Amino acid sequence: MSLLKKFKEKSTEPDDKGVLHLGGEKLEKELGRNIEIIEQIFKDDETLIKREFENQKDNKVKCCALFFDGMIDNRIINESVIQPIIANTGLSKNDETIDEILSQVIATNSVEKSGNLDEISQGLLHGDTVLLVDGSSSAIIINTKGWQTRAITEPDNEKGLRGPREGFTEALLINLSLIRRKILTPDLKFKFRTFGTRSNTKACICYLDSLVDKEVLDELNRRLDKIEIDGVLDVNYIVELIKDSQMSPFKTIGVSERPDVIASKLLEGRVAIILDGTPVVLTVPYLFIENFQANDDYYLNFYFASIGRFLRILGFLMTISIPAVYMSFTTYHREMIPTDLALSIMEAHQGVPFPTIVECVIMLVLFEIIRETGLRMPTNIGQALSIVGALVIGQAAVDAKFISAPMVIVVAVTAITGLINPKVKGAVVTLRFLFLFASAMLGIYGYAFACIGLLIHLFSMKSFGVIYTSQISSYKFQEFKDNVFRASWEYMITRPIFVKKNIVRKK
Amino acid sequence: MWKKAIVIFMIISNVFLLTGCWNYVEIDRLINVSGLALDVGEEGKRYHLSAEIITVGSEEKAQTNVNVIESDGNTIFEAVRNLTMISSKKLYFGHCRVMIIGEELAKYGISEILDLTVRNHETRIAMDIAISKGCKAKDILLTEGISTPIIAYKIYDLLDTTEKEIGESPFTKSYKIFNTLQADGISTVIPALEIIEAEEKKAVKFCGVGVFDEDRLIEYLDVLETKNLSFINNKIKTGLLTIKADDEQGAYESFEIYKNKTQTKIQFENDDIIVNVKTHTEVNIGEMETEEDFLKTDRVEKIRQHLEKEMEKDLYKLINKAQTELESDIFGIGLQIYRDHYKEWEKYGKDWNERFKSVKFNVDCKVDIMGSGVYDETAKGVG
Repeated sequence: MSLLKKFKEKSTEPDDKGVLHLGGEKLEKELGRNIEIIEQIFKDDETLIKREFENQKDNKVKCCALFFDGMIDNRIINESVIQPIIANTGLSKNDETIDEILSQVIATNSVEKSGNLDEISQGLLHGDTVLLVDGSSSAIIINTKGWQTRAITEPDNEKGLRGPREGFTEALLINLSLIRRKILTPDLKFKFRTFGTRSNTKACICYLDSLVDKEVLDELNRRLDKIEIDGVLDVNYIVELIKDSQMSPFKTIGVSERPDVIASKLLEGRVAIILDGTPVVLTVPYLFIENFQANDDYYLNFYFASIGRFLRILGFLMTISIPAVYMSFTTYHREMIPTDLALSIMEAHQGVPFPTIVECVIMLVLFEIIRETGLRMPTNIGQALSIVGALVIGQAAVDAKFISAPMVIVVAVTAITGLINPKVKGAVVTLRFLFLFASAMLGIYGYAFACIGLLIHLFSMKSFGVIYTSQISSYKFQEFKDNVFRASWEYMITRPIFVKKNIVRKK
Repeated sequence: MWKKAIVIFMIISNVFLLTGCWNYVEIDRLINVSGLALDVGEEGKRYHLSAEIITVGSEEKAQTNVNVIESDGNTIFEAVRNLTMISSKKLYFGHCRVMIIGEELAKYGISEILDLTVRNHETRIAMDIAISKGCKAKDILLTEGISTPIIAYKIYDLLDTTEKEIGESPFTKSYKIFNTLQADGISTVIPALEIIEAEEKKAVKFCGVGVFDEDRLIEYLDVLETKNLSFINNKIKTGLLTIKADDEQGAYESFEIYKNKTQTKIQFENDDIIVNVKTHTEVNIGEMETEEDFLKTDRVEKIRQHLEKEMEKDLYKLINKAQTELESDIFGIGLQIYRDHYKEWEKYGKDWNERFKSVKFNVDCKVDIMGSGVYDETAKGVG
């Protein structure tokens, strides 16, 4: 029974996971039938273009190019495939025609001969052109990928004062080239894999072979192997499936859109995961201190960078603590406030109808709403938001004795210090409320318990087998050289401590 | 799973069970007490308590109002509770900085009063304690403030400044006074305040210290004597020395104290206790009335020797007063013997106040004049 009949009878419906089982099926010798087979696979898909043509000298040399509209670079097909075959004068129909075309006629850099329908259909989907030749049960898969991509620009979320201005795009191969250009060594490895049973999204695992910790790499591969999902549109699909401490608000996998950041992480012995279709690249293992590190730190003078680093850590501590400490000082430990300040807080709180905790929660939630609104709404109505936010909530609410003025200051400082570390914003919002409620119940005592809880949580976490706080819990200079302050490159001798081999990065 | 849940529950329940003093009170539900004054009670009660309270205005403009409310009680606590009946809100003592004890009450005994201040969790142990000399403690709170409307904080600043800048105020904090009350071999001294009339306004002035026998006020030392007491106790940080010059004109000279170190060494000879007090003071010339150019002549040396002599005279005078008139060991010599020579303390300690009268003091003052300020001539300048 011919394959075509088999297709027509057995139905080419995909299974529940969307996988079309073609495995092992081969093409036949007749061109017309082969075309029908492929069309049958992609039936009802009108973007599949078929172009049949013949050699002008020997019109028995019949060919057909199949490709998806918009996925390919038309010039390559026209000038390097169709035109040479039609115009060639040496071709004649025999059993080796396809090999002759492959080796002597087609003038593109990446071609492959295959009769496997799986490979053919995957090739078509990824923007290759399939060339069928009459009388051959194989097809030539020609790399003609050429779709529109975004230009390489600096990512808006990770702008820096100095340093490279590149950012990743949505195209996997361009992203790989951006990394490759930074680290020119055969030691840099790229391993491809595919995610999503329906989306078939390509991804690449990238690492420096001589630095990577094999245990981390094996653990990563083991977790990636377990993923079974229909489609992955962004790295976060993967992150939430493979991350340690699933319920923790802290990140245990790093993300960046900057090739220079990823290159530096690779040089520190980390593994990067690049996913097609998103400019965000993952790195593992991810340690707590990385939340506070910025690419600028390494490009600017180390004094300046250290001040910035210190402020970021201070900002993190302040943003989770300020509402809680204010809450406990004003409602439990009045004696801790300097007398004059206590008097002015009392005065400001006179006539405010709500308890401090209600006031605080209202203001914090309002701020989060304003922040979220600012993120979601179209940019050209941003002015209205700032007027309403600043004037109505800031000024009028205080004048109307709806909220006390110190509370507005507290929330404003909390908000500003919260924005200094965009990498921990999820954790910050959660912890802020947790700390606040602990303080509202037990005063500074509750705050202390919440702090202890936070430390226990942080110190019990791991990222791919590496202790999450390993870099901040050490007292050796080489291990805290890049923590609260950033040492000069002169003294940055070793890589982070989880790197097991070739730890020295600078002599 | 259950085991884990029980362990977590037990840990979290400890958070609530093992707390100390804590209480949720909105800050505007409290009234701040800034200062307290204690007198002998009226209407048969033991204590009369006056409290200076700060009420903040709810008007738009910042406004701090000060009121004095009063009550009586047989214990101070009772008096405090009675105060609450007058004030609409709960009184809060965390910001109470000063407690003034009336002269009459101080003569009767102060140990119960200090007991409350260190026992209660709300009052600060670093609260200043003072005695009102020649008036009721309440009257001190009713004077008018010059720099701040809150009298209690004015008094706090006053005591703080006199201690730091003038070097004339000894222990003022309640825990320190409590410690000296408990200790053997030292008599308690507490700063005294009096009311002066200034431009038809009543104002508070620091006027030395009150000396206590056990916990009863017996006598006052004036400001100068207080300063000399600080000299012997090695409590002088900065301050001023004013003496009469030894020339014919009888002009006065002032010296600014830069640094002072006093060493007190105790010797035992036969049955005598000999106390060697050595002071070493570095001063700067503050004010000169003399006509002589003191830099060109050996006048500086003369001034220095004169200063040493005058200082020794003053210190001897104070020691004499303490031994004969007060009969109290205000210098804490007994305490020093107790600490450094415990064996001798066992021998002499039993009847220390009697013993103290026969202690021999040797005072040796050494003064170094470090400079003449920023000017090297005198205003009347001859030279």
